[in-house]
Amino acid sequence: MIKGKLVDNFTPILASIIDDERDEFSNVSCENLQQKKTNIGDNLTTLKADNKKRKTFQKFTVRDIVFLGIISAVLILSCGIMPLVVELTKIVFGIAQLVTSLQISLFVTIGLIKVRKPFSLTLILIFMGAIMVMMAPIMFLSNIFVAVVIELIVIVVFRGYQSKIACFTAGMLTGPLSLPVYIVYNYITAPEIFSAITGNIYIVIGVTFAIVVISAIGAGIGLKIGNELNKAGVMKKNGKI
Amino acid sequence: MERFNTKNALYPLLGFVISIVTLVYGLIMARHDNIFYFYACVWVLFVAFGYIRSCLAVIPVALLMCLTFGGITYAISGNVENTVVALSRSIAIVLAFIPGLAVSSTLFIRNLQQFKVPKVIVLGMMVALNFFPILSKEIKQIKQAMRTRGVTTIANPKVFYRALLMPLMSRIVNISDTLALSVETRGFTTDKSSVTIYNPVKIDLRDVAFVIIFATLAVLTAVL
Repeated sequence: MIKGKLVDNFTPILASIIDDERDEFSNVSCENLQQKKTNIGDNLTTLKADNKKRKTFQKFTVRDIVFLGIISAVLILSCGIMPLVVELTKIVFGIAQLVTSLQISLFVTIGLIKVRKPFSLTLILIFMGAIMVMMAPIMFLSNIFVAVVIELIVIVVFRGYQSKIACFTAGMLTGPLSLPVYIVYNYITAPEIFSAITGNIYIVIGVTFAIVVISAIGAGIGLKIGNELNKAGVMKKNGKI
Repeated sequence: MERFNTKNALYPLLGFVISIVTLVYGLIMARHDNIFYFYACVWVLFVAFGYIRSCLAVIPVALLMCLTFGGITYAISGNVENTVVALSRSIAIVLAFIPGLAVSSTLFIRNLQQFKVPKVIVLGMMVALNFFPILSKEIKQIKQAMRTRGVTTIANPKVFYRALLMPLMSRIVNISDTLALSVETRGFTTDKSSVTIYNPVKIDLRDVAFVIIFATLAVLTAVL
């Protein structure tokens, strides 16, 4: 009984005290929160500005160059199949690109996932072209053309290789974009071969479509490998997906 | 690759130019009657200038390429003339390898540095040129590991991906990190600081003589 009366008497008093405390507490925390919010906003703006700066042009470190050089070596080795079909290029349109686009897109995508800096692709293709120039001088020119076009697309559309889709797009376009260079080269150096291989328009469209699809598959596998390596902690030292 | 290096190789960039000229000349003159004489003379010229090791090394490659390309061309076209042209181009490609095989990568890189080629490109090329043996060794090791695990074929895409491609990429990333540390320790940087080249590579009379003989052979082949 006594306990019940005490509770009844004290309840309004306790309630008023709690209300007062709550008001005071809420005012204080609101001010703090406001201040914190402002600080966070400032930090976020600074971070965004830094990120924007970082996105555009970043300096290559020795680690980046070494990795890109290694990727170039892997690309050259994986394109070793090309000499076997070089004679078929006079008969079948785009056969050289067809047999190499998978491995090119795959390794280029992995290279770009690890080194997400503008002109990474240019460096990969320059290293590759400079070594291949003794065997196929046209390949060097083709690589330069492909690098310039893709870098432009990536910088204008994606502002660098920070997103997965930028790496995928660059990897996917590397193979198919070398096709126009070879068409122009054949048109200038051997017009009779050019007219023979582009005679059947259905074959030209079919092969071009096949190259694009194979490149997309290669770039997809490259992304998958990049993801797995990232999960395994292999890539985390430098780049993250 | 180093076992094919020649002690008295030509000036590295000159060798590079000779490679390109041999290839382009061979491709352009592939249908010429005297082109095989030209190839024979250039091969002898390389031997005379001390490239015996790389000249002998390319013979099996030339035979293999001639058989493959010649065979494919003959099988497709059935034309002897086209087959001969394919053989001629194959030999041109193989001959172009000789100066590249004989020049040590160290000398070539030093020569590039002399010409103030950007460090980024020099370093990348050096890594790419020297990585082939490491890569083949890694692939062998991964194949051994596959055999240990009972994988006998890589024809299955899943097996190829999981047992070969993933370990290979993982190793490549790890090797690149270690190699980068090693390269940094040796004083390689990507900044714009100047590089001191001790013992610079110079052109000598031997190089000039080679160019004169090579150019004479090319002209004679085209004219006669």
